[in-house]
Amino acid sequence: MNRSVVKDFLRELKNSFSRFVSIFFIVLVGVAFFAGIKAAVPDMQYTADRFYDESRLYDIRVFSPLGLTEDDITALAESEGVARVDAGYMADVITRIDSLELVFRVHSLPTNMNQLIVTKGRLPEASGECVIEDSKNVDLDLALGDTIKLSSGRPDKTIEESLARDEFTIVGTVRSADYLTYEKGHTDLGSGSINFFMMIPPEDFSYPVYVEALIEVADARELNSFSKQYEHTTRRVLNQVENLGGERAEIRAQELRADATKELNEAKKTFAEQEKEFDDKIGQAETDLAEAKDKLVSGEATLETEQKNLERTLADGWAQVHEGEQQLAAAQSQYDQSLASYNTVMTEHGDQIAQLNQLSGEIDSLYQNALAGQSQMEASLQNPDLTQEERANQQAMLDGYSHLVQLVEQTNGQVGGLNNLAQGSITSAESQLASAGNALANSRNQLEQAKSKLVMAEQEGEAQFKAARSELDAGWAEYREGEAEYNEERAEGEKQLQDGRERIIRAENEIERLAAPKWFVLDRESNIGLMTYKMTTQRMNAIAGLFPVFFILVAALVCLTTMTRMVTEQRSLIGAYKALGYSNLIVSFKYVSYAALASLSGALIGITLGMSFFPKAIFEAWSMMFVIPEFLRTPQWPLAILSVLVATLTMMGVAYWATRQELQGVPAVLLRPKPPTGGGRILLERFKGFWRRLSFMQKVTSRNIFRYKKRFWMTVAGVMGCSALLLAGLGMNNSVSQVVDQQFGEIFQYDMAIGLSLEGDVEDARAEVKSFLEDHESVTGFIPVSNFNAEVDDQSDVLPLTLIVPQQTDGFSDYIALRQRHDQTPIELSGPGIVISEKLARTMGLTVGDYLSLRVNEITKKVEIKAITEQYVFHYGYMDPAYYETIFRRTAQTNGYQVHLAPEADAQAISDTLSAKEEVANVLLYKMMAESFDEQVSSLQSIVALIIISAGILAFVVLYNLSNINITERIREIATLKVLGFFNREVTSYVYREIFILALVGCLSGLMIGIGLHRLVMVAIEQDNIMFGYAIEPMSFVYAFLLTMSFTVLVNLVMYRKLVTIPMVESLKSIE
Amino acid sequence: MTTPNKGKSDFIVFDHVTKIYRTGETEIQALAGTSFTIGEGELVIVAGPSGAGKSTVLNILGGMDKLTEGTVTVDGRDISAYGDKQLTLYRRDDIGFVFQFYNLIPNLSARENVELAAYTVAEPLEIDQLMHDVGLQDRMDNFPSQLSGGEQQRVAIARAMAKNPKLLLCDEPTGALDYETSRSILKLLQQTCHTTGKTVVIITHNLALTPMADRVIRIKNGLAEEVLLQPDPQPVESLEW
Repeated sequence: MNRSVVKDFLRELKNSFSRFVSIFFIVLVGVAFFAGIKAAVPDMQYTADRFYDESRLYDIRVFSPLGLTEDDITALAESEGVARVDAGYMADVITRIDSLELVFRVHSLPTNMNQLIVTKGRLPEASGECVIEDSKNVDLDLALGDTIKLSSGRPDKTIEESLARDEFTIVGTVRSADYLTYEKGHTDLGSGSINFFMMIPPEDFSYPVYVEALIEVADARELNSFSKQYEHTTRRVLNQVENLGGERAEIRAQELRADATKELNEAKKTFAEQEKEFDDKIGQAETDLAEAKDKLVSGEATLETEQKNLERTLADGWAQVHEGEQQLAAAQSQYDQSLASYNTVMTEHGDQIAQLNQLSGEIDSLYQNALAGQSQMEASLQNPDLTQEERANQQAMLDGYSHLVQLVEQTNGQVGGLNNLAQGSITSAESQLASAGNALANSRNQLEQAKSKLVMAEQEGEAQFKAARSELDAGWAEYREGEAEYNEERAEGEKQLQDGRERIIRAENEIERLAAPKWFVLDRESNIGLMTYKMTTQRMNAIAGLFPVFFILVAALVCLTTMTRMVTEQRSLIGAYKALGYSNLIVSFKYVSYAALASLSGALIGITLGMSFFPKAIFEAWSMMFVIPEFLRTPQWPLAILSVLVATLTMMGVAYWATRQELQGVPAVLLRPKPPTGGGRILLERFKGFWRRLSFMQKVTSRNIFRYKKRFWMTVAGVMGCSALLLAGLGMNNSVSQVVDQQFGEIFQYDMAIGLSLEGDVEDARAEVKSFLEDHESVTGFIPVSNFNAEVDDQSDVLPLTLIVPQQTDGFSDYIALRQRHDQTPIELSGPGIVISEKLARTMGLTVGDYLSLRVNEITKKVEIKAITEQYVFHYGYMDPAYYETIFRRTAQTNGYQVHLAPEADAQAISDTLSAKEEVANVLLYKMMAESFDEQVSSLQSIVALIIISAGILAFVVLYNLSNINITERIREIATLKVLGFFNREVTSYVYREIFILALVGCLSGLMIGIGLHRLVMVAIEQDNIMFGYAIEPMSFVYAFLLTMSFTVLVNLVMYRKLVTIPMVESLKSIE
Repeated sequence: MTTPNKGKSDFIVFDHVTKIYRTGETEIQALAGTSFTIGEGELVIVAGPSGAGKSTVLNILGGMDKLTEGTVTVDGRDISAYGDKQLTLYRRDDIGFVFQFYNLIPNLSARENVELAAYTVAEPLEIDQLMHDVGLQDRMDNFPSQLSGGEQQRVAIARAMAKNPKLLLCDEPTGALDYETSRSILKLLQQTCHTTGKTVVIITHNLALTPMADRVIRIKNGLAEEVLLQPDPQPVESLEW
């Protein structure tokens, strides 16, 4: 090679500097994107890996629900491949800061692994001290020295089960590689996610055994945490530990199982006793009550009868009195008559009766004398000393006397009889009158007495009845009291029984849980933060795999066009060289090295710029989500060298290929002007009717478009690439923001979600919140729901989901719209089966009719999937309350409300008021959810912005190059048109009409390709718990189209100057 | 041979025309005060060695370039005072241009190339007749790549004529053609001049062609060194070179 050739080469560089620059620039842009974006992932991984190593981040975490004993720890430490084991404690607790209920995960302070970065204060040194997370996102308004009060957050557990104390003083804030993102996993407390972490001295835990163990795998630290070797090394140890876990957990389970069985038996026994006691007590009480009631009822009856009897008796009495009074009146009148007639008789016969009485007295004295003589004789006769004669004398005397007596008696009898009669008549009349008078008086008395008796009886009866009534009333009151007491007792007893039943269920569950005891052996991928970071790098890798390749392809295409153009232009020069006897090698050397120099310098600068700018920018965009301290670069020579080599070699190859085509001709041919490219008819002309209708210039344009296939394809492909990239970028933006719009605009219809505090009386909380909602004027509707922090267990995978069980299925769709995505059919919630969110179904590979293992409150049940609902954020399950009860044997208790607010309501104020209530654990505002999610995806949006801007730059460069080439190629044609007297506008429209139509075709087909590219990218970058929309909004098509076309316009505007200043003398030059 | 319709004798007037090209510091004087006149309906040959300034004359006369000093009038109009827009109109309406390398639009058929020119003016000539006149009535639908050089140049002449221009300007019309073809093209030009009465200006370095012209203008060192009137131009057939 001689000096002239080198000189020519250098002059060439100087003369066609703009061409050199265009190759240089397109290679620069292409390589910068390619290498820059490709380098981002290794840099991100390196940064994280260094951070992990410096923190001595665990490799494997063992967590056992049954706890880890000292023996377990020893066994772990002795396992092969385990370099170190740190045992520790952990508990999820609830605390209230300001009015906010937050879930903290409390760890024991790390011993060797998981070293903390203290950002403020110091680490705890004494019991009762703690450090809390230094949150990047949330300002907790806690200062060093403040105390935090913790509670268990569950009605059935106390904090003492896990912690020795419930108050801790903050002595510092920390960051931990263990918690790389604000998302810290799920819990069954509170709102279902862990809000913050804190660390306390191990002695402040009250667990009898360890809860978790961190394992450092031997030789793993030296490896890149994202590499296959690392995965391989840890996986081996992980499997071992899992096996060990199977044995060890069983040992532990056996101990616990005994306790649990004892507990179950006890619970059963207690329950049986309680039940019996309840039955007895209640039975007795029932009998007693019944008896009392009977008594009271019969008392009532008696009282009534008695009252009636008394009434009747009194009535009789009064009737008798009445009759007596009548009789008395009659007797009185008779007596009065008799008295009158007696008085008459006495007036007539009183003297006679007095004589008769005297006579009778005389006779009587006679009789007395006789009677005395007789008794004297009889007494003498009795004397034994009496002689016979005497005796006979005396006898005779006696007989005389006796005779006399007899006589007198006779007479006396007669007189006496008469006298008696007379006397008797009077006496009897008198006495009769007297007695009649007496009798009358008596009767009157008696009557009076009877009357007063009756009155008295009535009064007495009434008094008695009154007493009886009040006695009965008292009896009733007592009875009712007894009844109330009975009810209360019964309710209490039933509650006790329910408790007993639940205790049995709990114990049964416990045994069930112990049935398959296991350790959860988790690698770093199970850590949500670490996993998110890894996924992020993978997503970025996916983007790096698609977009930059596209860029490079478009760049190569442009270079090819440029080089081909250059070689074609210098056709005669090549011919001259060849004619002068230079070898093909030397001739092609000029062009190949031209391309090499342009692309090598472009690639080197591109690599430098790209690798220094993009990884940092990308890291910064993602790092919003992570706590990784600072960005570190790792040298990536293979990538750099490969990029430069590939770019340079491709361009050299392109240049060689272009040159070779010309070099195949012999010098004589090359020296002569290239025969004009063949014109020809195009297909369109066959349609004579159509063709004839075109104007002359339209015909020319159509001919030009379809005849120059190479130009056609170059322009179309270039523009297509740009519009596809733009559409994909804009589409990514849509997909991301669509999530927010769909999820929070159409699916979640409620404005506010309230979570009730489970501490204290939930019933009261429910009532309190309910009445607040009912009374608040801005609340237009609300629905009570039960939210459960559940899990889907898939053996290999455990996915957290929120299970929502509304208290009524009617009207639930006003709060959360369940619908099938493809046709928007609403889903009916009522009836058996669970409705799950689409992403969950997709992740688990489940369809309608499949069964999934749903774990709620530590109970796992198989439930049938009855429908899959459109949902973009997180995983959700929905269930009919009746079905929930059937499956889980417990009613779904209301623990939250979903609320509709009036459009003009001050949601924040309502939320504040509610949050301030002790009964309310958390209040989520729809708007804030949407905002926070927006924030979460905004990092992705900045990447998207990067891509859109890059695509824009590329579009401009490509279009500029293509237009430039297009015009340069036709410079003679254009000059000729000018000489022919074409106006500027005619010349430009002659050229531009063609370019525009090509750009239009390219743009439209680019939009088609963009749809596919967008789909590819979205699938590649989809996150774990987010489903992106795959639809690109119509406006994005419009934007991509307008952007591409306006780039075309812009480029053509720049080109316009060049076009109108093309010197006409060009037309006089020979064909090159 | 006589010219059928001799018109104004000062159809074209170059009056002390100077043209200086400036590239950076250096100045090149292409025309140094050239003066000549051309009568209407004449066939004029402007001849001279390379770099003498004949191309500049062509450029200025063709409305493709502006002069530095002096005046140029064509048919009584001072084109040296024209702006871009007027120059374009001048080219469009008054000039028919025949290039050395034909400059046909490769993508248009022979007829369409002629149409392209006709498209620009209000009253073009009948195209089929033109094609017939240049002897290409059978090849109208062929594309330039399917035509020989002579045929292409005929198309170019037809294209130049289609606008019915006042002036036919030919830049080395035979420069890329072989001898025989050159003769036929020159003959066509002479015929055209004589039958249509158009003023035809042929720029060439080939002095052997001069006998066929009505007027020969020799350019040397930027000046019209000699203007030769030939009342009896020779037919092309008699020329040899």
